[in-house]
Amino acid sequence: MKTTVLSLKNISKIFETEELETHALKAVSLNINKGDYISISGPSGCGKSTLLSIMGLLDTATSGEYFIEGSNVSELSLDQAAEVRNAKIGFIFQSFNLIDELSVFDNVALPLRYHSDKPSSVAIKERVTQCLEKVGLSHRVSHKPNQLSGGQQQRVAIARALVANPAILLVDEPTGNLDSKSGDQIMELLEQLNKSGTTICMVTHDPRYADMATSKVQLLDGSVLQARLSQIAV
Amino acid sequence: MNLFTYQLKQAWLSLKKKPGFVLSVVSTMGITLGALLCVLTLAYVMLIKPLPYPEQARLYSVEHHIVDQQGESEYVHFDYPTLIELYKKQKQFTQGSISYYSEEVIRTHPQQPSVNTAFVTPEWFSLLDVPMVLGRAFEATEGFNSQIPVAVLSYKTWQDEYSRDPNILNKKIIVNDVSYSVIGVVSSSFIEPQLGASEGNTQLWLPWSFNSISYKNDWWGSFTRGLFFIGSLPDDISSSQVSEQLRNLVINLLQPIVAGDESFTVDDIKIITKTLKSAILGDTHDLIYMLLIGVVGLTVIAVSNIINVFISHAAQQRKNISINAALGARKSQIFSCLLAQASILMLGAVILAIFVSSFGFTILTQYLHEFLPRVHELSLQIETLLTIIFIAILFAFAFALLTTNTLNYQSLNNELNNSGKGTGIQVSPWLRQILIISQIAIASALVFCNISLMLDAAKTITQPLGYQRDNLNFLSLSISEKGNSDGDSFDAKFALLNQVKSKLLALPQVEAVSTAESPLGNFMYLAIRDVSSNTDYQAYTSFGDERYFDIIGQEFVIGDNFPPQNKQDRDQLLIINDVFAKKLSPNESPVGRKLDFSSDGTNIFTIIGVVKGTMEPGQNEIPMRMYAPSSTLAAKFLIKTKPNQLLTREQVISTLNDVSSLLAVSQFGSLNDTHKNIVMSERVTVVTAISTTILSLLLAATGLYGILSYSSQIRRFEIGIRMAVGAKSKDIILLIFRDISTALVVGVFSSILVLLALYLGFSDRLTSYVSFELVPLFFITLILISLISFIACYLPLRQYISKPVIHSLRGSE
Repeated sequence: MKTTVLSLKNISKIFETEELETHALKAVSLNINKGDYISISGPSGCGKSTLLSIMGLLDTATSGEYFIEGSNVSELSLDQAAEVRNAKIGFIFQSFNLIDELSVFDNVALPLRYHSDKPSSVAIKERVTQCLEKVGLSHRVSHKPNQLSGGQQQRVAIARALVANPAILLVDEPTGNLDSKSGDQIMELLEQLNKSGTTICMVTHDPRYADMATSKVQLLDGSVLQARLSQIAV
Repeated sequence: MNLFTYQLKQAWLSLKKKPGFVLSVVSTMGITLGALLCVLTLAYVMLIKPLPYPEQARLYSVEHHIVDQQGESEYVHFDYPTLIELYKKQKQFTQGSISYYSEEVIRTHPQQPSVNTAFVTPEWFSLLDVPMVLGRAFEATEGFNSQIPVAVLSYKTWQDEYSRDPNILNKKIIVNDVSYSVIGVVSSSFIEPQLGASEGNTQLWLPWSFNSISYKNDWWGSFTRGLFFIGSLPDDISSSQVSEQLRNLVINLLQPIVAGDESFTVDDIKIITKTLKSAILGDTHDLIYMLLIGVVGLTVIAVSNIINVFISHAAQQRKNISINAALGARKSQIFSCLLAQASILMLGAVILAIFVSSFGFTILTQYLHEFLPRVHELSLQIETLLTIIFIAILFAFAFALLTTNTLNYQSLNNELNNSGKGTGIQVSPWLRQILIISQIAIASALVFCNISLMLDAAKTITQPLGYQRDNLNFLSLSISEKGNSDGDSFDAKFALLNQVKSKLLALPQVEAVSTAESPLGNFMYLAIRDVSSNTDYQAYTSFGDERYFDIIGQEFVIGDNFPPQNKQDRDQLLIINDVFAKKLSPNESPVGRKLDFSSDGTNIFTIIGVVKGTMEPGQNEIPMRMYAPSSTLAAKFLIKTKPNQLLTREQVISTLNDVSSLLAVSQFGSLNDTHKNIVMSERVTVVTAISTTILSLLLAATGLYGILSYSSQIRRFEIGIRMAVGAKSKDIILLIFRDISTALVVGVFSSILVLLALYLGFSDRLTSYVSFELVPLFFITLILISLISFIACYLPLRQYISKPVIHSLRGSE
């Protein structure tokens, strides 16, 4: 039996302004099991990124319950959420979000610096090197992000996402800022990672890449339109 | 609607949404411009504004100086005979007037108030064209030698003491046993020249011939405070010529008198004729220039802070600015938009500045009139107001221009497409560091200096003097000579004073009465000779009776108190303090030693006791002092009231009236009030230093907040990324604080260098302030500055660390 990594129950998100109330997500329920590779797709404004933000504890839901590896994370404080994010979630953003002032090594090591276990410098070095090898960039440790190509920067971002051994990788439009060749290489890398056991949840509007996932979820106007039965929480 | 009006409207709407920004700019610039307006007005009034008298340029004051061997002035006072001869014989001035200022008691008034009194010749009124609200001023017939007893009241006296009685004219007032007829009331619009001790607040004018000077006609060389000569000079003679001619006049008079006196030659005399304006100004030029430098420094700090705040604000607005640029707004139009905002803010600052300066004028008039001449003339002057408005406009342009220049106009167009890669507004990191360092250095130095000034002043205020002041009042009486024939004067006075004492003691609130001088009063500095060793000493001398030391709680070290006072007891006894005792007789008791006050053995006193020394407010060392038994005819009393009981001036007057109508109060007040007045300048220093410390901290906080808020904004995505990968709030705060810690350390070291430079530059004046006590003070300053820096770090971060991470990351995708 597969272990549930992440479980959303009736998650809703309402954005409120003085005049307007926007229902970005409407009672979304979703289960992600260990080893899954799920793509979430849909038209612009359907709530894909909002859903991913909530799943990554970058944002909070208006209502509903959310579990990561069985623990309820719906009502965490900002600092508790940071701790869970650090330990359980790896992020890959469309615009890489690397820190220009830090070297490739330091960018990748960043999650370990905030880790509650306070790993030693030796352990950090070992782990960072391992992850950079995994993405094929072990020869670029001292470079600054702006000295790298877009594809290389996204690989650094993937290494950073993997470094703390997260339960799941949350990937937001990973190829949006890349040319098609680099995009394909990144997608290949993600596929390999999944095959080696990494759980991935990816937001994309590119049907070609969405098809590369083992399961597909389609969002429309904040609701799940279509998903494989096993992924809809019962 | 033209574009600028539209932009003003938009700026107003945009500013309404940023109350914090508006508050920091308007308050900082309002207070700064207010201080600038206040000091500029003060400088204008003191240095530029003509005196408020017709022909003020022709008005001169003559000063009589006695110089030492180096040519430096030792005394700047007239002696009575010289002034009179000068007045009578001078031909240089078309009109001259002499005046003497003192304090006298109006006996006919129920409260017997002591009033500042000027004895003047009639020309005083015509030279200054004194406006009258009632009656007239002195006439020629009431001149130098006349004995016509007439009086002129100031508007304030008429208002406060006589409730603006419309029938005041021809009413009688008694001063020094003379009954004067009131002939006029000076208008409230009259501003009196502030000469020497007069302080420009005369309450009563009496004719010169009735002056109360003790040392008159033959007292050549007895220099008396409060004597002045002012006059009007024709155009064809210079002040230096006048000085020379008057000096010759004085020397010719004095030559035969000082002939044979080795201690004094006519070469020591110098006459200086200076314009009335510069005589009033005295040596306060330096103070004004110091104030100007100080306020300009404050303005520079405030302006650099506000520039930071503006840049930070522009960074927040970059999206709006980018949209405007993308839609075709030219750089000049973006400038005009920022100018609209700056103009509204500067308008607010000028309005606040007017209030701040009015408050400053009140403080200056109330507390600093003793130090600053002409402060009574302080009011909002159109010249300085226009200057401030002009400066505010310049600042508005400067803020808008500098902010526009920090915007990288070329990159603004890319801003919308490329928001993830940096911003269009960039202040170089080294400039940011320099700004932080300068803020911290200036603030640390200012705060440290102000706190040390404040502590020094507070120390003087709270300094124990070696005796207690609580529940103690000092009363000085004047006794009319009328009704006493010479023969029974002594007995009658003795009886009268004994009666006063008994009556005062009989008051329910009074616990004890001593015939004594106030311990806060003027001690005479007298020369004495120790008879046994034939050595000369000088010590401060006061007097008291047998209850004096007990009443003020001054302890005996050795020996006896004075014996109880009675009429026959005329012993020449003396009690000295321990400091004098140690000097006089270091190894044995000085009791029994004899001191000669006359140097020829005719006035010898015997020491009967030694008391612990007492301090004078503001002094660091206990002076040598001695106490003689109070004369049986001394009309001075220390009155101790029971705890929590009050003795009012009215109660004292009514008690005196019960005894005799010949008695009047010339001075009455609690020792605590007298002490408060003595330490008034220290109290003003404490208030000023606290205000300046708060202002410096506020300015530093605003400046640091501006820079750090800007730094946080440009690091917003970085902060978001760090939080996304697991950084907690404290990690982010530590990150930013660690970044400014270098600047903090460099800033603190720079402040130490500034303080050292100050110390080396002004070591002669600062030596008394420097001690090891300043080390903990410096640490307190450091803690305050670090705290301010921490708050300035934390506040801009709050918007990122108190919201879900997505708020910081939004826009990067």
